[in-house]
Amino acid sequence: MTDSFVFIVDDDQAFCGALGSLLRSVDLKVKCFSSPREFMLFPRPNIPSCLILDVRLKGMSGLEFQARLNELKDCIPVIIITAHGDIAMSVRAMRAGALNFLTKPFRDQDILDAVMEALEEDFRRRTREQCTIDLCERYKTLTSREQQVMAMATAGLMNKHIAGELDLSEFTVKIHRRSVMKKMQAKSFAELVRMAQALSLRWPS
Amino acid sequence: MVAIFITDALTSLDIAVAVLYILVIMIAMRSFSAYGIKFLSIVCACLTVIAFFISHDNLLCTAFARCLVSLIAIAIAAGLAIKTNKFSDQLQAHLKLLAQTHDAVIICTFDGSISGWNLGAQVLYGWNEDEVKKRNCWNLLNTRSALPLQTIKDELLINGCWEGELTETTRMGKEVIILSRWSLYNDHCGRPQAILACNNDITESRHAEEELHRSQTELAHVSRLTMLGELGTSIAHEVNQPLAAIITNAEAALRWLRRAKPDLNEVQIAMEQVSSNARRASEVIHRIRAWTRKSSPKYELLDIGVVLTESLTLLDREIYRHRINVNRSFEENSLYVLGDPVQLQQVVINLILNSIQSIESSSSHVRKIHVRARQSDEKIIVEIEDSGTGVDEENQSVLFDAFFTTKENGMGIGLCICRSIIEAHDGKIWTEGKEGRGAIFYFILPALK
Repeated sequence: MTDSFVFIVDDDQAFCGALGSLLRSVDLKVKCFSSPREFMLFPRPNIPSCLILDVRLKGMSGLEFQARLNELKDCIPVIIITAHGDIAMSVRAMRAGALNFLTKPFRDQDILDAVMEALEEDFRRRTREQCTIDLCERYKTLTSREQQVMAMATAGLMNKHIAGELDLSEFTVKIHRRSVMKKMQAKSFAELVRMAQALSLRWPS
Repeated sequence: MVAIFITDALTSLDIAVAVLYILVIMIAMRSFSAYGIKFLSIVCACLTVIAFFISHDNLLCTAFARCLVSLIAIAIAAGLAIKTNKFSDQLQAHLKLLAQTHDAVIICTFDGSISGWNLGAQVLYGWNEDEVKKRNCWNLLNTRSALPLQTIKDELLINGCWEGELTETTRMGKEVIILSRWSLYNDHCGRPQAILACNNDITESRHAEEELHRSQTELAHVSRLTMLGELGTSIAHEVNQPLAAIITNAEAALRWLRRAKPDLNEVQIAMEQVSSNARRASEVIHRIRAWTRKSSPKYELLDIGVVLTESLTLLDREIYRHRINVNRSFEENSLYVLGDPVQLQQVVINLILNSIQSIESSSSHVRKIHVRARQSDEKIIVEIEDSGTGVDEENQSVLFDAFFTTKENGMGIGLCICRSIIEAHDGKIWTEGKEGRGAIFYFILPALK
C-alpha cells in the first residue's frame, strides 16, 4: 500500500523519530507532529492514512484530541500509544473508536500490524464512501417519477400496486423500472435493492 | 595555764610571764568558737591581774608596765584568733560548697600526677581520692581525644586554658564522653605548676544528639521518598520514554538492514538515536540514584545555577503537567557555594513543589514561578517566587516549624527539613509575601570566593 500516509502525534521527538524510521523501513510515508494543533494545521492528502496518537501530550491529551476528532466527524483511524496505560484508559480509547491501543515500548511487528490494519480499514472506508458518492450521482440522474418507482419497487411493491398508487398504467411502471435499472447500472433487481439500502430509501417516505 | 599562773604569781621574774597566755589562746583557737575565745581571753586577763596583785605590793613599778603589756598582748591575740577563725570557717564553707558540684574536678601536675580529686570525680570515674593520688591521670582514665595530648598541652601553655571533648574509661570499663575544661596554674615565676580539669559527662546528651541527628536524617530520607513517590509517575515516564525510543530504533535499524538493499544511512541514524537515548535513560537513573541515596552530607564545590537547573529538570513533568510557566533569572558558572548537592536540590525541589501546590490551590489564572539567584556581598541569595495563595503573616513565623502544615494531607516536615539543611550550610531561609498575592521563599548561603 504505497499510496498511503501515517501520521504520528507524540511530543517526544526521539520516539517520534524512532517510530518514523521503523515505518519508513517498510516503505510507508510518515509525518511526525509534536502536538495535535500542528496535525490539524497540516493539509492532509486524500489517500488512505492513519494516526498514531500518544496519550500524554503537552496541552490537550491524546484522548481529548481523539474525542475532538470524533466531534469533527474526522474518520481517520486512530491507534493510541502510551507509556503507562491502564484498563480504564484503554476502555475509554476503544469506546471512542480507537482501532488499537499499544503500550510503549511495543514490538515492531505489533505496531506494523496495527498500522497496516488501520490503513486497510481506511482504504475500505474510502472505497465505501466513494461507492456511495457514485451511487448518489447516479440516483440524481433519475426523474422524480423514476425515484418514486425505485423506492416503491425496492420496498417490495408489485407493479400493479405501484401503478395503482401512482395512478399509472402497469406498462408505464415497467418502462420506468427498466429505465431505473439502466440509469443505476444495476445488473439485477437484487443489486438495486442493495443500492436503495445504501441510499437509505424508504417507502412510504 | 595553771603553770603560767603559778609562775606568774609566785615568782617575781623581771619578764612579762603573762605574755605566755597568748600560747593558750593560740592552742585553743582551733577548737573554740568566737565566744569561747573571748571568754578564755577574759579569764587570762583576770589571772594576769590577780597574779600581779599577789606578787607585787608596789603598784607603781616596772612590773605594772609588764602587766599592761601582757594584757594588751592577750587582747590582740584574742582579736586575731577570732578573725582567723571566722576566715577559716568561711573558707571551709566555700570548700564544702565547691565539693557539692557535680562536675568532676581533678587537679594534677603538668605531667599528669593527680593531686586533687573531688566527689564528682569519684562518682563519675568510680575511684576515690586515696586510690588515685599520685597516679597518672591520663593513663588511669585512658584519655583519648581527636587531638594528641601534646597538642592540648601546647595550647594550654599558650592560652592558659583549653576546652574540648575527650573520651575516657571509668573504673567499670565504661566509655564516657567528657566535655573537659582545663586551666593552667603557674607559680610566681610563670612555671606551670598544676592543671585544673573540670569534667562533665556528656555521654547521654551526645548520644541523644546523635539519635536526633539520625532520626532527622531518617525523616529527611522518608520525606525524600515521599516526594519521590509523588514524582514516581513522572520518573517512570522519564525512563520509559527513552527505552521505548531505543527499542523502536533498534528494530527499525534491523528492518533497514534486512531490506533487499540495506539502507546503511538510515541504520546509522537509528543507531545514533539508540546510543543517545540510552544515555538519556542512564542520566535519569543516575539522578534518581543520587536522589534516593541515603548518605551523610558531603560538602563539595557547587554551582548554585547547576543545582537549580537540575532540580527544575527533575520537576519538568510536574511543571508542565500543572501548566506552570517557569522564569529563570540566574546564570551558571558564577555562583559557587560549598554544600551537599543532593540536599540543596532537595530544598529547591521541596520549595518548587510547594509553589506548584500553592498555585494549584489558588484561583488566580496567573500560573507562574520565578526562580532567581544572585550574589550580594559574600552571600548567595536564591529566590523562588510563585503566583499561588501566599502565606499569611501569622503563619510566616511558624511556617518552618516541624509538623506545621496548611495542607490537608501534609506532614509538615518539608519546610522544617529545608530549614535544617540550609542552617547546616550556614545559611538562612525565610519567606515573604502577602496572602492571596503569592509567596517568595528566600534562602541565602555563604558564597565561596
